[in-house]
This record gives sequence, C-alpha cells and structure tokens, in this order.
Amino acid sequence: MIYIYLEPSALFKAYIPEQGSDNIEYILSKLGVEFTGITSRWTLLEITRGFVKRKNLGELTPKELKEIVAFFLDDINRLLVSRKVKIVDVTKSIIEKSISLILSKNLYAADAIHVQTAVYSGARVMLTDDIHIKRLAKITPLKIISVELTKEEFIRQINTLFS
Amino acid sequence: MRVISVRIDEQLLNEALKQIKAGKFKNFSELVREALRTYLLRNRYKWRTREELREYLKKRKFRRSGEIIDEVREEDEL
Repeated sequence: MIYIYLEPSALFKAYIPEQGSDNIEYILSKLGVEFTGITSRWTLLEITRGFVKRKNLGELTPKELKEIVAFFLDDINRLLVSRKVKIVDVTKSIIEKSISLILSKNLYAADAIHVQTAVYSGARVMLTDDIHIKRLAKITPLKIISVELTKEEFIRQINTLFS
Repeated sequence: MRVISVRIDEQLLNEALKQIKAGKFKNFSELVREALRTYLLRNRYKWRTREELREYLKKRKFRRSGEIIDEVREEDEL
C-alpha cells in the first residue's frame, strides 16, 4: 500500500470545482485499494477556515457554509472509518521537528507541520497545488505532485510510484 | 460494536462478495458499514457525493484553493 499525503491545497479542491478537482477525485476514488491517504488533523482546521474565507468573500452563503463544512467533515470521517484515510495528530514530536524546519527554512508553521507529518507517517508522495509545489519541493525529500497537472500527466506521475 | 443479523437475497450477496474478492473491502462487515454510512450521508445533505457538491457550485467563480489556504497561513503569522 502506498501512502499519499493530502496537503490542504490539494484536498480542498475535492469540494470546490476548479483546476485539479478531477485529479484529487481520481486519487480519493483509489483510496483503500492502491493507496492510503494521509493528512494532518491540522488540515481539517485549515480547510474549514478556507470555507469560512470563501463565505467572507461572498463565494458561499452563510447557509451553504454551514452545510458544506458539515458535509466535508462527514466525508472525511467516512474516509477515516473506512480506513481509506489516516488523520495524523499534531504531536509533540511533530511540533519539535517542525520548529527545526521553520528555523532553518523560514517556513510557515503549517507548511512545516504538513511536511513533517508526511515524513513521519511514511508517505511516498505529497499532493499539492501549483502554488505550494514550488515552495515545498525545495525543503522535503518527498516526491511532490501537483494536482493541477493535466489528467494524463498526473496519472503518469502517480503510476511512477509503482515502478 | 454490536452484532446484528440480516436476511439478504443470493444475488445481492454474490454481488457483495465480488466486491470483497476484488479487494475493495476487507470483509462483509466492512462493506455493510461503508454502505450504511454512504446511504446515511447521501440523505443528510443536498449533495450525495463530492462530485454532486462540485456540480452544484460549478457555475460560480471561486478563487484558487491554494491562494485561500495561503491566506489562512498568513493569518496564523499575524
């Protein structure tokens, strides 16, 4: 089983229609068979806050915000209990390793937590969007794949994990 | 967890066993639990699936998720 780290900028796209939504959906549909998804518990906070920001920007109504956040949390819980996704707690050990990374690489605290959680949990690859791949690729030994690639290129890169 | 017994017809059972054989579920209990969760989730919201949620939202303009997530991280910096 290959562990794939779901960074929030990639996972968020599963709930909003935009470039990359099809690719993250492709991965989520394969979870439990070929892959296990991993993410930090912090991801739940970041995406929830992201939905609130979308409401503040007028992209969602207050009623939709409430419904979509509940749907998102239920969907993640369903993936969790069916063992398709693992949620990794932000532990003392991850915090301590993240501090080193923040000091040495001048990272956002959340970037450091995601990188260290991925490494700690044995992920082979991290999925992000184009914005984050540039920043994170410099500081982690993990393979990073953008979900904003074309579908063909994305699947080709995912398939390299099996070779 | 509680143990319950249910009656199902042969055809439904065979279809379920095929899914387990294909590796989609570890055993029959896992399949039933997943089916129940999916059913209950589908009846709780306007959208039954992530695809349906995206379809519901597709006519709107959204900022890129990566930009929104970065703004969330910048808030943490303040």
